[in-house]
Amino acid sequence: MRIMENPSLVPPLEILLIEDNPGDVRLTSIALKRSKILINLNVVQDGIKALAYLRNEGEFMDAIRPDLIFLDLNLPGLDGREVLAEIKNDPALSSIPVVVLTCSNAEEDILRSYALHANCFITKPVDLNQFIKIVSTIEDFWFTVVRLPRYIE
Amino acid sequence: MTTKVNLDLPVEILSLEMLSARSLAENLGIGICLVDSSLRILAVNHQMEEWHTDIDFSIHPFCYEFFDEADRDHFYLHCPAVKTFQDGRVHESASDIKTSIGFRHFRFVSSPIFEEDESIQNVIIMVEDITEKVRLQRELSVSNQILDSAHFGILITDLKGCVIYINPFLKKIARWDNREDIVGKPIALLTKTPIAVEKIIRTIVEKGNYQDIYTTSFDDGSPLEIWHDSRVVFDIQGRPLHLLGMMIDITARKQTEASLYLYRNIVENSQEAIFICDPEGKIVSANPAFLELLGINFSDNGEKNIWEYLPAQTQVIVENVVLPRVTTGESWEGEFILTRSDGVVFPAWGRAGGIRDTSGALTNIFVFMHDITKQTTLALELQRSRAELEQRVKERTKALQQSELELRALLDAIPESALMVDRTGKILSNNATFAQRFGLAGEHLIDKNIYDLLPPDLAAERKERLESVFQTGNSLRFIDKRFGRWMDNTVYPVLNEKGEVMSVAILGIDVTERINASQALEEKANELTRSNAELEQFAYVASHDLQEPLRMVTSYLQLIEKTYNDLLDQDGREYIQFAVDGAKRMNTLIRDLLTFSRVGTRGKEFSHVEMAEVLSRVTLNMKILIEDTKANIDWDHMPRVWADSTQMEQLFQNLVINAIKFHGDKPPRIHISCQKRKEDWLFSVQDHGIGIDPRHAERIFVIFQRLHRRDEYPGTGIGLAICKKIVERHGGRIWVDSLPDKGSTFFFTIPRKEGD
Repeated sequence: MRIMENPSLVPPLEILLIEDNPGDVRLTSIALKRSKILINLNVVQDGIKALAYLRNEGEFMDAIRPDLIFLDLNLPGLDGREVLAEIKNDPALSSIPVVVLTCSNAEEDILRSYALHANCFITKPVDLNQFIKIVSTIEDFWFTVVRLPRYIE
Repeated sequence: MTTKVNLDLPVEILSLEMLSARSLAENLGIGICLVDSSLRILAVNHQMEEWHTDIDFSIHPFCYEFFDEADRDHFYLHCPAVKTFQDGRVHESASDIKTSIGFRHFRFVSSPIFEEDESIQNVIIMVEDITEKVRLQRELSVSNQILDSAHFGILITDLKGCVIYINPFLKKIARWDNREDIVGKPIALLTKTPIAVEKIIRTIVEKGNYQDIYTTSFDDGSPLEIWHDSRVVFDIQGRPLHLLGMMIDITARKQTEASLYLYRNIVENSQEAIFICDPEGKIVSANPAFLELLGINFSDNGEKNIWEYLPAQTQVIVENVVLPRVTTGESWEGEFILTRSDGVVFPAWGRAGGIRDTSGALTNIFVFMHDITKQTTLALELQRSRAELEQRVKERTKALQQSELELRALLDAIPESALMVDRTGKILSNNATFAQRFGLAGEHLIDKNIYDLLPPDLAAERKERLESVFQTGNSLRFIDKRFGRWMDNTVYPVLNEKGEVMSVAILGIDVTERINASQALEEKANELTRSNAELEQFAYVASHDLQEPLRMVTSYLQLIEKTYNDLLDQDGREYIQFAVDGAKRMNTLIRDLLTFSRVGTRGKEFSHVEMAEVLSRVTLNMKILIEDTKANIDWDHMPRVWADSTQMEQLFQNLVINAIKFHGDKPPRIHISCQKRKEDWLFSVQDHGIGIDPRHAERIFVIFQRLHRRDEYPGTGIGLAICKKIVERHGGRIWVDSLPDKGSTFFFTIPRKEGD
């Protein structure tokens, strides 16, 4: 699914959301809608597709390399942790920041994610407003505070 | 005097020779009688009258009147005058005649006086007193007898050394018994070593006598040691006449003397105390060692008696044992006690025997003796040591036997089979359990071969295992199942002093029950692991799969509220609010439950934890809460404990949160302290809050148990349950001491690790 938001001359920022729960996809989408920046949110439902997307394989031949990845750990098929490991072990992909977004606040999930070079780990809050606030904070952080590799090249 | 006249009368008839003879006779003291053929004494001379003053020769007595009636036959038979009248020759005889001065021994010599016609009218008798002469002759005879029978040699030579007399003894020692040609020969020629006669004379002249000891040999005789004493025999005028030599063969004496000297030396220098005493005890001789032994000296030369020096007990021995033996001719030897002059009593060993004269009578007793203190001390010491040693050996043996019995009993009592075998498999020792296990209870298995007792395949396998222990010297342990039982076998090498494996000890423990139990345990553990894994799965489910739908409920309810706010009335908004609130609480409950379950399964390894640091971190974590509530938290000196640091932090944090939460009106004051106890550390967290009714003291630690309404004090009731679980995981205990409105003190213990 590709959601085109506010097209303009400035290339939009590309976010790949790897999430199997449509409710979460919708919530994330709602949260990002409030953004002032032009964002292209691309969504894949599982790990296999995610890797295919990133490597431009199959149906994702024309997929654009994302500037940021939102990764849910709890995925059907290829688990989120395995996807993270694949991304971070692939020299072509390892430079893409990965934000782990999950319901888990388990310490081992946090530790393991960072051990696999996740760039940050976010526990999804129950409260909607808090969720929106977090997403906008992430967006703010990665697209305005931090400089991303694409802009350096 | 008539006799004179009478004698003078016949002067004319006397020859001139007669007259001269008469004169000579008068001078020589010889009596003269003129006797006629009728033996009438015609005339006598003066000497005759002196001899017989009681006889009146003027009456011309007969000759026989001088003899007693009894002797007259003898007179006629022997009277020389009778014989002269008969044959006209000179005759003589000797008789004892009684004279005025007693009996004298006279010699009568009758000579005829021939008439012109050759007839004999008268005989003249010359009477000589030979009493002295006879006596001298007799004496000489005695002297000769003495010389002849002397037990020493006598040699008389003239001044030139020619033999005048040699006595039989000298002849004998010189082996001249059969030589008759000695007398007259120069003595110098008779000996092989010439006797220097001239030297002898010269010496005698100078010194008065000559004495010498020399060795010479006569003829073919062996050398003789001669003691020679010579002197000169002088005549009346003092001129040297003969040499008289006395020669004593001292060869034997010399030898004896030499032996004596030797013996004397030996005795004098002997370390052995030697003395000789007579049967009464009078000391005849004692050597220096004897004096030294008794610490005495005999300087006063007085008579000494051995009894004085013998202590009473020794006197008893001497009297009852020694003397009877010695007296009967036996010798005695043995031990006895002596007392030295300084009072020291010491043991001595002695030997006594008798000395007898040629008749066999006991004359003296000799005694040899010496101090045997050293030997006795040594012997006693030796005896004592030996006795002590024996005693110790005895005790040790007894102790060993006892110990062996005890060990044996112990060995037999243990449920392990014990066996000791040598390299060939020969059984050196085994206990009862071993015999029972082989169904050979009570049988004597020593010296049997273990491999004979096992089935062949097991014997081969065991032999290989034991051999490896013999070769490597390392003990071996293996567990195997045989005859339906699990056996845990350990083979220990038994080394000799050189470190070589001499035998092996095999201990076999029947571990069937243990193995079964451990297998059961393993199954349980596997089950537990499985259930833990399931729990993990549950936790994960709780974490993700339960929370996500809940979040969806919340989020979309909120989204409805947000998006369709205008379409909702107050009730609708409240309903949504209740639903969201419930979903949120459920979320909290799920999280707390997860946390609670993870205390046991997600705990970290224990390590040394500084509790002061833990408390610092806790207060730092709770900075905002503490500031907001104006809480005051302090703590005493905190120890280092062996614990999971994260859980300690969680524990304190929960307790502190609890204390702050129930603070009542006043700002919370929390004091944390620790007490070191024998087995553990006792921590306390004290507050001055609302307190707890003691009835609920147990309940508060049960999960999700709450004492207050949520709107009074929010929370799920998980905090203290987690505290309890953490403390219990550490092997400690947690409890509360509290009264309502009086504050609470939570106590918990953490076991002390050695060294803390």
